[in-house]
Amino acid sequence: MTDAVGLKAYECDGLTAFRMRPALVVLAESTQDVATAVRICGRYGVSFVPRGAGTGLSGGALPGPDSVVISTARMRKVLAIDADNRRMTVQPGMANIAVSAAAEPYGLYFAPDPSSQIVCSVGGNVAENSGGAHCLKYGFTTNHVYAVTVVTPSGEVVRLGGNSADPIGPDLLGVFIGSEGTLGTVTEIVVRLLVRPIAVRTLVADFATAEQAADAVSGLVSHGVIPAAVEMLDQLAISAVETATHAGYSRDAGAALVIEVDGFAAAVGEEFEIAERLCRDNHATGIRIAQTSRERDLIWKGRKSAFAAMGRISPAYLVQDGVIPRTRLAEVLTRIDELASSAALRVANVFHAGDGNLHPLVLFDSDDPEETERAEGLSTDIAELCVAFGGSLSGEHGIGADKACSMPTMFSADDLDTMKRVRVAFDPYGLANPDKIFPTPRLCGEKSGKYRPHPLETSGLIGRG
Amino acid sequence: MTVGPVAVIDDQQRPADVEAAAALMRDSAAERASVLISGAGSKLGWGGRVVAPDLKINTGRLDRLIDYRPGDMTVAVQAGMSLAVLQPILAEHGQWLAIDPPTETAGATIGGLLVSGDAGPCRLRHGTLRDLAIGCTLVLADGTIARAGGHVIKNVAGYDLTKLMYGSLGTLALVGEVVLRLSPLPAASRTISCALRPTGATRATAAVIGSGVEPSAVEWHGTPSHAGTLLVRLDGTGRTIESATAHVVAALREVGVDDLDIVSGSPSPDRGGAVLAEGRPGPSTVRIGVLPDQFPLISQTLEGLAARHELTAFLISSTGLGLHTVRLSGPIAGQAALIDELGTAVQRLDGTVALRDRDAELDRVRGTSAPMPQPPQTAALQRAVKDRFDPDHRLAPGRFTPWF
Repeated sequence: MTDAVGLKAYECDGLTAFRMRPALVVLAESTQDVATAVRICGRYGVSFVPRGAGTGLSGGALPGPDSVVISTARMRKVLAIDADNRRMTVQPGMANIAVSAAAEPYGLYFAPDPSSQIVCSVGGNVAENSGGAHCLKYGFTTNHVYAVTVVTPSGEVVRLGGNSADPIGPDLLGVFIGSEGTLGTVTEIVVRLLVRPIAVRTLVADFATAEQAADAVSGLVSHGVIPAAVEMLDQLAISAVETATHAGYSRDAGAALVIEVDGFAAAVGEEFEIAERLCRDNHATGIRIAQTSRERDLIWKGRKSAFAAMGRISPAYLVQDGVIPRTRLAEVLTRIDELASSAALRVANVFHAGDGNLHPLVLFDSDDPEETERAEGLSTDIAELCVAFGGSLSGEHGIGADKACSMPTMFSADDLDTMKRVRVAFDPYGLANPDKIFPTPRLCGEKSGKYRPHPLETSGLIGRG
Repeated sequence: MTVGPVAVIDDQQRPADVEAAAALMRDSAAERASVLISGAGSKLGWGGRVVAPDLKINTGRLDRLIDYRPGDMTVAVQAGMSLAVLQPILAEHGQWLAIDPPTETAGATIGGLLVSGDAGPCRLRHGTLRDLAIGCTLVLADGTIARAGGHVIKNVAGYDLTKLMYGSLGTLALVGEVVLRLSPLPAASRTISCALRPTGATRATAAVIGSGVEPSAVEWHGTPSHAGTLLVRLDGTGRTIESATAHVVAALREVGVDDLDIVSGSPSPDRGGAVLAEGRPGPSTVRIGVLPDQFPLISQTLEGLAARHELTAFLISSTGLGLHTVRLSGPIAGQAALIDELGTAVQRLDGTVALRDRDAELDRVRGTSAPMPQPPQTAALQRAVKDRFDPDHRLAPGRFTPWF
């Protein structure tokens, strides 16, 4: 694709602040198409950017000024289902939720569930090692992929992983997953499927303060209970969600916890009882238990559309994605509040409390350039605050173009150079998705444009966490 | 930077901290010396033998607990700490590192377990250190110290170098420190035992996993194609374990498994450890990885090969994972021939075969320690990574030959 109008759709991914018109877009339909495109790029020394559904939030699919975008969005087929060994081979463009739908007749499902799962692609999940609400108990994408077929940056087709659970040699599959398209383009994925849990129970607990909710989470973990999911919404987030979805969250609560327990009936019953008791012990002001699957779906609809709902209370927002050790949760929330006050901005929090993965949303008016700048500064400060508390710059959205300049706050020059050794081994000429993950003068010297919500976000189809 | 002391015992250098290890590595680089890194030394033959290294670095004194955070369920340790020392410390807080490798009793270290990928029966539910190690500190061949990951379980900042170390067997870097994700220690366990042939065991395993109760381990041991013992381990709380057991027993009865024994308490289904210990020296231990439902095919193949070469084969299989440890005994020439034929057969199934413990004579007869006729498909990429981490190929020369 070369026409100007068509190319415009590929200027950015879900992070709309960074935009660059690609030179060309290849809509690949097979591994061979990708390999051909990559080889041609190699012959002429042109950089290329792999792209899935484009729902990434860190600018991982941002094109370079003269680069080719290789889209795998048209590669959406199920290639094989092996129910006996609980695995399925899919093309990378398949939507995350479609994998579970295809596995449903066999009583199986694919555990990773990013909030954007109705549109985000499995190939993108592999590139970002994305998570979702249920990865506290079940692990991340990397724990659910047996093998990938990859077109390396030199155009070779290689399979990483395979039928055996015991690899021979260093785990290249493990280092490839989460490498954000800088080590190659994935064209086939063998995913691990799990047996659907027999029982699922979900509750929403209201608290006067976010700190009390955080204490309840710590209590749960110290009791040895690993729920399927523990999500938190603060007052601002609850109010936005209720306005947008009427999911039944209490507007007068300072914070709400969504706790889901799954497994077989007896274990679920016991763990749910403990969860309920711990919420009460930590001064929950109300507990609502989903009585039907419809009620449970509504609770999750509220949680998963929280980011999109933010549009109801603010003209624009920046979403951050940092991780902190779970025990520091209450402390970090207080610090974020202080940072927000001194920047004279509001921050809403909706996040995966069980694994300490925060998604602070910095609300601002994008028509006010001074406020926009303050919002960007605050968002970066929050990410780096997570690092200062012994956490990480990203839990699931990736580093991409967005946070590459913050990488030195988390890693030393030697750490980054060691990572680059892997990069150079896979991609000696640096053509695969350049200027991502690692700080570069081009990226860190430029200012980003103003925030514009992704069309799918505006329509409420996808969330950001 | 102060460099900690380095003790020399049995011609092995024993650094006490990462800086001292880095100093040793820098010196070895200056002298272009070949280096063998070892922990407890329980897996020195895995992945090929390292012949006459100029320098032996032992991580035995890198055995400190660095930072234990029970509330976060993470612990950072020096890589030479043994699992057997770590588990009781964690148990005081009702936690454990959820692996139960057979080499635990031989003093297996955390670093060694990471780079070898060794786990145990509970791997079915909890995975290996690939899944449980969330950060590490490395010393590269040139003495560079690099950190990756951290103390948080969810982390996608930068490349996951910890995973790159998984399976690397000391060929890419020295692992100096490891951060681990912990699990709650189960309060109660039951093991269900039944006598089954491989075909029945495969069906029973599928039924257990499909029951919706997550078993911690499903292990079979016996001789190929004969009735052996299938052990199903369930973990839970005092209140839930009975119900879980009843549920799994019902699932087993449904596929025609009647003769069941339920063992109270928590006997480890880990026959692997005992068998490996019994097996030394003399017999060879071969590790096979295939799809779980290929167990009957593998046992049949093994039975045929063992009969043809007049050998006895004993199998310990993680049937839920498709991983099989085979102990071979009998004439060395027969073992060598069987391994070659097995390698070809398993490679055709897109599986893997690795040689573990064996008599040195076996490698001499075969002329190689690589059990598969073809290098893995990723050999070129593996070599490219090796070239960047260890350009002079000084670390563990001999491992992963011929492609390293």
